[in-house]
Amino acid sequence: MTMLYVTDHPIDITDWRAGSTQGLEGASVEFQGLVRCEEEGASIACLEYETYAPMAERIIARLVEQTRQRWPVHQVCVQHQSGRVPVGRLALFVGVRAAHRREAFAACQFLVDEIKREAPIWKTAIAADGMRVNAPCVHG
Amino acid sequence: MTTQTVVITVKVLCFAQLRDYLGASDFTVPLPSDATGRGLLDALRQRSPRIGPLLDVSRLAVNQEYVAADVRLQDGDEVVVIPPVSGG
Repeated sequence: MTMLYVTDHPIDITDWRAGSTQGLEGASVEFQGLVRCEEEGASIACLEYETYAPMAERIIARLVEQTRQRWPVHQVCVQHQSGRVPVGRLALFVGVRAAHRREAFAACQFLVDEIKREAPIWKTAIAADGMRVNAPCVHG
Repeated sequence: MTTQTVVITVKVLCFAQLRDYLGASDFTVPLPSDATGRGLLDALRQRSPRIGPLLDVSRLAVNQEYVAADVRLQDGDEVVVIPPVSGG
């Protein structure tokens, strides 16, 4: 079972957590990517994620397939929010269930690293006054 | 006899900083019929020389698949210029 979403709604892992495990999974590893209150030394209010969603979902789906080829994982859940995500909230969730912890940890780490490296998703830090932090100078 | 330059037209999508610099998120670019991804990048550099360093570290995707810069472009391709990503 694979759950995959790139969504402009807040990440909701209720369905993932409620998923029946059939008694075959001895390990469930979750990564929660949270928005920190500072970015490159500046205090921020939120991160704004821009995605090229069709390609991001295609890339992530392929990464999940690669994961399944490398490790015997049973269930995978990937959710990435687009748009503005406030400090302290989830921007990325990756959940992996497998028979044993080693493949669950390895698969989860692989997915997180590769999603951050490959998926066409970009973040911009937004300060408390709503202004972009370290925005490029586009005039002159 | 006249000689016509055969051109193709590709649709370009830009995101993040690249879109900010170019001032548009999608536009079309005419290119020679034998154009590659590198040729498109050169055409974009001419639109805004300041984006050269950003283009140097950007990747290309054609029809939602990453491609090498020497890929031969086809008329009607959708080419995405992808500056360094920062998801997660």
